[in-house]
Amino acid sequence: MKDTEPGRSAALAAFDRSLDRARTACTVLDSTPSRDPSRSEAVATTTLRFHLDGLRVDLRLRADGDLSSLSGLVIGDFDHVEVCLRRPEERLRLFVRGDGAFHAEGLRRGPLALTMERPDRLPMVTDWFTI
Amino acid sequence: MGAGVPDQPRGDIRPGDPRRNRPYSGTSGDVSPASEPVPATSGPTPRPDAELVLAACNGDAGAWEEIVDRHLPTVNRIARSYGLPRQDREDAVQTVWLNLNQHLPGLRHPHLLRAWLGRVTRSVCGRQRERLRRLVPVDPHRLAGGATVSDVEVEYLRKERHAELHRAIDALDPTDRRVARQYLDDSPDAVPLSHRTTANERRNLFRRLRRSLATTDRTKGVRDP
Repeated sequence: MKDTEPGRSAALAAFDRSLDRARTACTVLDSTPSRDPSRSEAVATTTLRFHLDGLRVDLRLRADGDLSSLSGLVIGDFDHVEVCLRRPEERLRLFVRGDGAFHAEGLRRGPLALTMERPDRLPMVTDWFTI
Repeated sequence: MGAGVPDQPRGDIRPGDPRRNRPYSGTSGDVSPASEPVPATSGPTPRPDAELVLAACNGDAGAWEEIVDRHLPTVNRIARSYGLPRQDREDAVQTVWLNLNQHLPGLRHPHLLRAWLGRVTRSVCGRQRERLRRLVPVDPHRLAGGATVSDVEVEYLRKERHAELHRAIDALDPTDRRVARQYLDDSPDAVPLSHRTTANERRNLFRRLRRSLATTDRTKGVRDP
């Protein structure tokens, strides 16, 4: 079974205890993708919202063909926040503007999650979702 | 799926216990829940899910591997039932395991791991299926061409069918004709027909309409030279 069961190596690779201290932000909105009727290309937009401890993260995912882009906004009580984009076996730190906006593009399909870190606070993680 | 403080003990092995990261000896008094598989052969007793969860939380990769080997077939079976394309199914299954890894320390009922995995798999696959449903592939040439030019023959046949239907409705008695016309009224303000007629009335109307359309078909050659 072990060699033939599909997804076994990916499931084993998911094991990571480095963020056990982090708190999980609740998903409070997860809209189904909608296509922009004004555009001829197959662009679909999904909106997600996470919330924890007075911090809200709004995400807009745009799937454009094989690649996706992500625009986000962190709203709430913070002077400085670091946002990292987590992929399996990959971690990408995003530049967060003064107003809390961040952006990433050229994202391949697959699972994705975010971590938010504020000074003197426990890190926050979002649930994994698929783009 | 929210993280929370577990409300019950996770097996009988505590973090400081030296047995924690050793292979299970089968001497523990812990009894496997009835829902867990019991091997037919007399090999070592499989560790209960709650114990594996606790060990995995403490960094035991072997326990995680046992969890994966025990439950991956179930997760895959549920994912396959959603009829997703292979790549989407694999993404969904991977997302389930990533979420389990993340929620492992906060699982309230680790002995119900199978149920948790089933619920999360259905949620992730459902979302993936919904996503695919919205992304209906279209011919880019059709989109680039702007308004579509319908085939003349198809348009003619559509109009002919429309005319035949209305001829059949005209042949109905006045009450049925009114009901049929209301039924065809798809304007936004129109009240649904089901609110105005009973199921029997609708059935009788459709039967008469079908009979009338059949008559129209038979006489069509005579009336349309």
